[in-house]
Amino acid sequence: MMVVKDLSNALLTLKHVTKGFNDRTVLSDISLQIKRGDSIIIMGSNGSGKSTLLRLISGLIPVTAGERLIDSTGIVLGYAPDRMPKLKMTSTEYLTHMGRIAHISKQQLQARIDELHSLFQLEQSTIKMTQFSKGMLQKVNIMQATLNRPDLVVLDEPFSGLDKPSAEHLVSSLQAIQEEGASIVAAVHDPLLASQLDSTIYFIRQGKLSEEPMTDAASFNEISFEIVCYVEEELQEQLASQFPEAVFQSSDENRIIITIQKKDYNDFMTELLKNGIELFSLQRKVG
Amino acid sequence: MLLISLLSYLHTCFIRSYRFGPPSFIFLAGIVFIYSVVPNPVMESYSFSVSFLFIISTMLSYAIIDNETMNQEAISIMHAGNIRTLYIAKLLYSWLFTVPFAIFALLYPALTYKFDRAPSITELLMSLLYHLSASWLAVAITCWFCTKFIRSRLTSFLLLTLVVVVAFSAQSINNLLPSAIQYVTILFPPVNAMMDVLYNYENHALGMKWMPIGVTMLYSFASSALFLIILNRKKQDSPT
Repeated sequence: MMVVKDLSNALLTLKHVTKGFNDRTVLSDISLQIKRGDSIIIMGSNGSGKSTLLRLISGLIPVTAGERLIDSTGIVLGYAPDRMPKLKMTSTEYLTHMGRIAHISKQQLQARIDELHSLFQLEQSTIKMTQFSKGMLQKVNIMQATLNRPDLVVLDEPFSGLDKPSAEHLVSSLQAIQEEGASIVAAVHDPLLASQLDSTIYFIRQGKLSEEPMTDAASFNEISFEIVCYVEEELQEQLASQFPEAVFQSSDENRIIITIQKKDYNDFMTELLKNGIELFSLQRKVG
Repeated sequence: MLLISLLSYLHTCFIRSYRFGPPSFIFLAGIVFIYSVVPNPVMESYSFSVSFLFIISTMLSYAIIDNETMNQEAISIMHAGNIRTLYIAKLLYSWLFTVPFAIFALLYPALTYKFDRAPSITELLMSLLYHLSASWLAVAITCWFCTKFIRSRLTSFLLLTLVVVVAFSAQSINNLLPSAIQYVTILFPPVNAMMDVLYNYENHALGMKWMPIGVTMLYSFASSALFLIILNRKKQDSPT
């Protein structure tokens, strides 16, 4: 993999990067420059290569062709994957382990863990992460990514599976992190983050990256559908992984309110019907 | 310091996963059962426990190396700085986890008078080295069967089982092969050589007693070093 020190003022630069798996090219000729304080949103449909691009940026996978250049002084990178595993430890234990691995001194680490719990409004308790909700797990996920005060935070679907209030709170937490001086690169379906973080929007289509104005991004999924039904937890997890932008909210009588975007409507409904799910209501929403 | 932090984290995750339970129980119960009949010859018995520990160590390291999910592993890599450091810690932890088993296999029969005579200090020390190098060999082989290299857990488990069987059958395979290609068996994990020397311990010169330990360490070092080099190039490369 090409990892070269960059002498420009960019934190990280991808130069004509191509990424393929076996014979399949997922991303081709990607060029992207991330500067200090930037907020970049990557949008695209399922399987378009958003996660692959983020993993390339993070250095988790090698480029097939092209170059990945990093700031000549070295940068601290934080990465939050699309799903946080449910580990058998408390959030404090987990962050302590991650912080120690990241060479953060004991005193600084404890202070930072307290600060992040407060910022994300997550109580430091003895409850293990196996009992956390999706929203709580996602908070821990972003907390670990920002633990070492990174120069660049890479977030893969940070709003995946979050209900509206949690997503809104996450936006404000990310704004606070940005104010600390971190650049953010996030893959999202929902333009909510884009509009509130004053971001540059990029779309991935057929493996190519293109910058697009906010208005195009906003219209990307302005029509949504709200489905009320009963879905077993196992199927719910499967659907959440298959449709990361779908928002699941608990309702009364064990019902679930699922909000999906227009482009996912056909696939999502097919999946529900295939699993014999009976709908209580279906509503088309604009805006 | 980084390695200690990684070892501590891996230990917490592995202990709380309870995946160590079945192999540990099989080993401890197996050793107690084997020595339920007394008396036993010293070095021949250690020959058996070396091979038993080799098998159990493959099971333990197979569980440890893929104990993290892919996403958590990505997070660990980001904090550790690179995938190589994380995997050095995983390999080291896999081996360290087997050390108490090696000591148990060594001391249980010696301290509970299961042998036909008291083993000498030299015999105990040599047997300890044999046990420790056998478990390191198991770790160095098993790492190749992680999901990074073989996606299917079933395929990797079957292939690992095959390699273990081949390792124990090296001498028989060598005898069956035409002399022109018998040299390929030097690529097989040298478990058989260890067992053979321990089984006929008294008949071997001092140099021959040390040789299997040296060969095993060399083989294990080469295998794990090559694994880390390839892994460092490959990183977390797989379609997501």
